[in-house]
Amino acid sequence: MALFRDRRVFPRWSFIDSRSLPRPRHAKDENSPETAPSPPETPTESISGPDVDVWHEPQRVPAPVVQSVAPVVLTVAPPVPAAEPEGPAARPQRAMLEVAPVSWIEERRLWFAEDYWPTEASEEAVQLAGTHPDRPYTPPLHPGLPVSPAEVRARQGRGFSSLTRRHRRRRHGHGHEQEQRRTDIDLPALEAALDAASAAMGEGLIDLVVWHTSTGLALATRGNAAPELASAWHAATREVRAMLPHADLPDAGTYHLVGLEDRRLAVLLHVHPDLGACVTVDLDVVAVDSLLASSLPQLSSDLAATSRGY
Amino acid sequence: MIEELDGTIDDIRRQVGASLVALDLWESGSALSLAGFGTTPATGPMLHRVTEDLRHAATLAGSRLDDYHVLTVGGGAVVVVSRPHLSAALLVTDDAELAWVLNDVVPAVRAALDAASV
Repeated sequence: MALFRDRRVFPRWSFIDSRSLPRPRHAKDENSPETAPSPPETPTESISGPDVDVWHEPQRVPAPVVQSVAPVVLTVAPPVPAAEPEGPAARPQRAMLEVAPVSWIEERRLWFAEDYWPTEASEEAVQLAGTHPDRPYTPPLHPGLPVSPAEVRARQGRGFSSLTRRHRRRRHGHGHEQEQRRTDIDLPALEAALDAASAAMGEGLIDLVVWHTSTGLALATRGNAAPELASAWHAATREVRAMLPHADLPDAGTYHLVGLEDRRLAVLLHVHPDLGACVTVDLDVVAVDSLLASSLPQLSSDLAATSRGY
Repeated sequence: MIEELDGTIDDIRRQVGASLVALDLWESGSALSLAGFGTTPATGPMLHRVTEDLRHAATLAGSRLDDYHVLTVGGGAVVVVSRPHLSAALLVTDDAELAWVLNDVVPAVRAALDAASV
C-alpha cells in the first residue's frame, strides 16, 4: 500500500505570508499605507513665512533643498510622535490569513481509521504533486517511463516505496533470479548421522566434515578436520560441478572420489542441494567395497534426511 | 609417437572392456590433447583444470593429491589419471563398479601412461 502526502490543508505552493504575521511593536510595516513611498516632492520654491515647519522622513526622502531669492530662516522642528489612542480596537487592523490549527497526528489517526486506504494515486494527488504551480499535469498517452518525478512520487509514494508490493514485484520480476532456498537443518540428527558413520568406519576414518553448500561453512566435523577443510573442498566441488557442462559431460552424480597420498581417499558427497560432505578414509584400513556399498550410501541417506526445505 | 599413443589406447580399451565409452589423452604440462575418442576438444583441458583445482584444495586441506580422481556423473563415471608426462580421462558406464575402477582400472591406466611416456 502506498501512502500519499495529504495536501488538503497545505496545498501546493502554500507558504506563510510574512506580511500577515504580527510584527514587533516598533517595527515599521513597509506595505502599510502610512509608510508607502510617496512620489518625490518638488522642492519648495519659496516659503512664505518663517513659522512653517517642514518635516521629512530622514531615511527615505533626501533633505529639502530650499531655493529662495531672499534669505529666510528655516526652522525644522523635531518629529513629535503622535499619541496612540488607547484600546486594541483603535489599533490598525491587518489582514490575517485564516489557518485552521491542524494536528498532524490526529489527522493521521482519523485517516487510518477510515476504511478506504488508497492503493493508487488519484488524479487529484497527481495534480497536487505536480512540480509546476500553474501548469496542469498531463498524463502520458501511452504507458512508459514516467515523464515527471512528481508522478513517481505520487504513484508509489515517498519513503515507503521499498515496502510496496509494486516495487518488490518490479525488482524481482525479470525471471532470471533464482529463488532463495530456505532450509531447516536438523543439527542433532546431523550429529547422529556423523556418529553412525564414524562408528561404521572405525579406525579407518581420518576426518569427516559436513558443510552448507550456500556458504561453505562447516556444520559438523569428526576426526582431526582442519578448519579450512570444509571451505577448500567446497570450493573444489563448485569448480568441478561448474566445469561439467563446458566439458560436454553429464551432470554430476553423488560421489567424487579423490585419491590422496599415503593411500588415503577423500570422498566428496553431493547428497543434498544444501549439504556437502567430505569423508577421508585410510584405504589400508577400510575396504573400498564395503565403503562404497554400505557406509557411504547410509551416510548419504542420513545426511539427506537432516535437511528440509520450506 | 602417434603409434605409441594408439597402442596405449588399445591397451586401455582391452582392459576396461565395453564399459569404456570415451577416452582422452593429453600432455600433463600443457593440457594439449594428443589422442582419444568419443570426447570433445574441451574435455581434456577442462578436466586438467579441475585436477589442478583439486590439487590446490588438497594442499589447503593439509594433504597432497595422488594421481587419480573419479567423478560420478549421470549414467557413468569419469576417471582421471594424471601422471607426470601424460594424463588420461575415461568415461565409463554405470555397469562398471567403482571398487573395480579403483582397484583395477586406475592401476592399469597408470601403467599404460607410464609406458607411453618412456
